[in-house]
Amino acid sequence: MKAHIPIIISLVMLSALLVSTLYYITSRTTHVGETLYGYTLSEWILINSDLETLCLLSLTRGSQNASRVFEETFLDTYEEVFGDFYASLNNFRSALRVASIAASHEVDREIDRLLLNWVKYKRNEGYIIDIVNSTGYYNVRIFMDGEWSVGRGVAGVHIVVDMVSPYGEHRVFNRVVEAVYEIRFWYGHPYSDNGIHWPVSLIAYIRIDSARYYYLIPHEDMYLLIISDTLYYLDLIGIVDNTITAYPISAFYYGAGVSYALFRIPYESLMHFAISIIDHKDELVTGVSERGYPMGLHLWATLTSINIDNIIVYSALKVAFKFEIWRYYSRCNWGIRVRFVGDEASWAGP
Amino acid sequence: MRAQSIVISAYLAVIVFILVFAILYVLVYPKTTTKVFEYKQLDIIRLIRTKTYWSACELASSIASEFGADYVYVNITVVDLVDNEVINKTSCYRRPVNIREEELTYFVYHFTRLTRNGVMYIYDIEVGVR
Repeated sequence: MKAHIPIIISLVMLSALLVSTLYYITSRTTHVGETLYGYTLSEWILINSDLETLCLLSLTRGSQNASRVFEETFLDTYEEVFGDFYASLNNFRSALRVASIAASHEVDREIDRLLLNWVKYKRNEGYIIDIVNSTGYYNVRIFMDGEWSVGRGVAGVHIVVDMVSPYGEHRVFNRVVEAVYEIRFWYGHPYSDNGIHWPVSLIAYIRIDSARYYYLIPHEDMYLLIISDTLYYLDLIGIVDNTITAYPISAFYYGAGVSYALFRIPYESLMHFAISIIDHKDELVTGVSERGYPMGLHLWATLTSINIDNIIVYSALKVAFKFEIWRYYSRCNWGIRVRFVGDEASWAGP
Repeated sequence: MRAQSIVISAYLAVIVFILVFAILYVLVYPKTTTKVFEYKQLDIIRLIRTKTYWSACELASSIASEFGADYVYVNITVVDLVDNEVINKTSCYRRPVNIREEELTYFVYHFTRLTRNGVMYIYDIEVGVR
């Protein structure tokens, strides 16, 4: 009987092995591996890229309409108060504001429309999408930086889109795309080589989120549209009503988006230009200078625009046309000092 | 003496059983009875981004050759996002005759690509692999 014990033990263990083997091979453990950096990540990258393209597309289309509206509204709204620099400046600022608001609607409408179209197709793919923010803006303003007169035009779109993918992943996209055009002016003079010369610095760039992509402004695209009623009295070449357009005679790219350009407003001769002021001193003189001479202070409201890869942005510039005249009684001659300055309070320059 | 040899052999037999159990449970069974499901990595987006414009059949054959897919269906819808209208719709199949549908595992992809001129390409892709 004792001899049977090992046999019984071995049979019991063998049975246990068989049963557990049968249990294992009839059941199956399932393990699901999820790859986080696979298809879904590429898909979000693609969506992010789509949204960037969408912003640029809206800005391209929106800014073209907006710029047209801006120019029309500005020209319809702006009225110079002849002989009153500060009243004209107020009107200039106000016209820029009104035109900017009108132009903003165009960019805003475009981003809203295109984003909704895009969202419609993505919803068809199974995405749950909430447009948290969709804003387009167009803003041109002028301000001072020390004695520098600065004009800054910004056309931009800002979107915040909350998305849940068909796989349940969630992302929030917050994108800002802006085109910026900034011009700066300190002072300029009339020169004997037949023209008023304005050195101006210009910066143009596109900002995508926090990255700036500087734009080298082509020389032939630079211009300044000057609006002033004083032009009715001055002997300059190329005046159309109360406007004249200045083009650069030279420009160079300094770096980091900054270009310097020397604009020229041509006249027949320095003498003719000076005489035209003296001849119309009754109309042009607005007060007395600090030296006690009759002086004139007039606003030359200036507009300019840039086309950055089909995104059009306007900018503006405040320029004060200042002069004082005196008479040399001993010689029966007139003396005249003429400046174009960014800061109307100064006689900047030599 | 005989009783002692029985005890020793029984003891050895138990050790052998324990070893066999250990090997089976720790090394053999977990591997033979586990099925692992993983998302197959078909990086179709990367493939699509290698070219700007694809025709449906061109894309289908590229997917087949790149990923060794047995079955590919591609549908490309071209939408003008500015006017919000469908400009074009093309599709293409690559279906093997000697493989039954139930033998294939299907992967379905939907994604879009937008270009700066406002044209949006919507890709609906089905890939079947054995």
